Amino acid sequence: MTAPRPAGNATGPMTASAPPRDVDASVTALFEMPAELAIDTSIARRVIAEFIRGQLRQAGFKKTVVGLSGGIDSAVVAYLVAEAIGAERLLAVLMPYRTSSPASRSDAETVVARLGCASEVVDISLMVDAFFANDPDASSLRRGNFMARQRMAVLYDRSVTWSGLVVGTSNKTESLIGYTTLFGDSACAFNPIGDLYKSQIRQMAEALGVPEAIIRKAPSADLWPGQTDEAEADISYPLLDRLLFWRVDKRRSVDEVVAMGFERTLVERVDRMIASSEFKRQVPPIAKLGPRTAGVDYLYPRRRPGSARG
Amino acid sequence: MRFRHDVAVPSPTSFVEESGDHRLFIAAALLEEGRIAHVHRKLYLPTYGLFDERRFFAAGDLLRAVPSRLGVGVGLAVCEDFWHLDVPQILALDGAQILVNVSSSPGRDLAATNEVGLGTATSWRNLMRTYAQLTTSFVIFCNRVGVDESISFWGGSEVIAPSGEAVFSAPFFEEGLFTADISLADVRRERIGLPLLRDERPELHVRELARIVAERAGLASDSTADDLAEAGLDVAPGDPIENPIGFRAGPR
Repeated sequence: MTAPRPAGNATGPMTASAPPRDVDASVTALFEMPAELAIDTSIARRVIAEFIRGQLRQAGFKKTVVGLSGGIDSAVVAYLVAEAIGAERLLAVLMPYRTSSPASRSDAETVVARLGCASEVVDISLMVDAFFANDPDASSLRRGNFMARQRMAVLYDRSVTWSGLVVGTSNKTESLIGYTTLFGDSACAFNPIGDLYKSQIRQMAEALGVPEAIIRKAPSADLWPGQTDEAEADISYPLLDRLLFWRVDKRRSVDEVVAMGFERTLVERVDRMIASSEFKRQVPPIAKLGPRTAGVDYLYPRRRPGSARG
Repeated sequence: MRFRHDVAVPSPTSFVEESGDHRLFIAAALLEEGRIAHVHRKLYLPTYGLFDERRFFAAGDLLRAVPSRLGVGVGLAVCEDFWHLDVPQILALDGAQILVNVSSSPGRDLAATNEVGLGTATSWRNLMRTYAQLTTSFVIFCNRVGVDESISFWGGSEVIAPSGEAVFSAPFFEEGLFTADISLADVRRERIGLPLLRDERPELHVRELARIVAERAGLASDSTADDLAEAGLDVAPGDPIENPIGFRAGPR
């Protein structure tokens, strides 16, 4: 009997002591799915639906707000929210900038039409352009970050007008490598997909019936025309997801993943991305001075008597 | 699962207990006919990975199988207690024919490669079947259902017969009051046909464990330790194997 310990250790035949040198990646009709990352999507949907309902219950909210970009992550979140609480309790907010891809907009509109949820378009061009009016040489990094934070501000405003919680749409891949804007796209009340790699999001999207065009297209932050995640990070998602899975979830050493076939320079580069973005995954530290300090030794569950609004 | 106080059958239930000297225990009680027949205080408090129990709770020190109205001994345990081999074994040796584990197991390790799609569930199901077989006892696993912050408790409560076969398996993630009929004659049949419990060697355990405890305390020399091991440690220091992510390899 080899019952593996569940906490961060090996389970199942894929993770026996010596991982196979070449893991079969099954190519579905829509995308490449690394075999070791495949999940039981029906269990994932069930857990996530109960998570969403639990988060709303403990905060005393009935509705949610999702920023819908036209990409796969926010589409999957919208579908999951609709499945958990009904589309009538979802407000999808489309927040294009003037250079945003028209395809993004139409894909987002397809999701709204398919789900039948409430939606609103808030063009952020005026806000962003007003800010940079006297600063025309601002870098695309600054502009991209500012756009992400404007969208956050819009979502949190709609959180008040719609009486809904903002649902996060960041996935595990981008979180681990730090491909997010702090207090921008990563800001949310809770995140149902933050422990799913991009490949697993694709698997979920297919199971949920997300439109094929959204599953097929190259992931992009759409912060400037022609931008794609994979070109910017210079690595494909299936490869990156597999590397992160073995390095982080399965605690394999650099030498071990190199022996599995990953390039050492790539492994070292991704390691640096993980380490240098640690600050983005944690709440900011507070200087400890008093007897009890939030997050240090004042520790309560968010769900506690009185935690629900109203 | 919920249990009523007015039912005549023995019912285990769990709670936090503050002792007279103000220690907080994670406890399970066996309730029979409106009275507390036995309180078990959790022995093993997981403080690793996603668990933080030792920070807040005291560990119990007693492990007892107790007689019950059913006419057989019952052994109570809480969750992590069953990740330690000695617990089911001692309970069975102490007279339990029914082992009950009250559990709040957080579901994780979602996978498609597992029998049930959830690594945690596969591990627990393997353990329960193994314990039932090795102790030739009924094992009742009663697991929490519901979501608390990030954590989802997966249910899947089970009753395993002394042969290791499941008599009853509750669905995953579904709350409910479930009943399963069991025949205690199965214990007798199994224990006579497969007399593992009869052949256990508790005196061997006591002797060898007493030796190991003394060696670990540095009170006896350890004939099986590495040559360069310090007193109390079985193994000599080795080379560091790997630096964590973000740490540079130092000079060896």
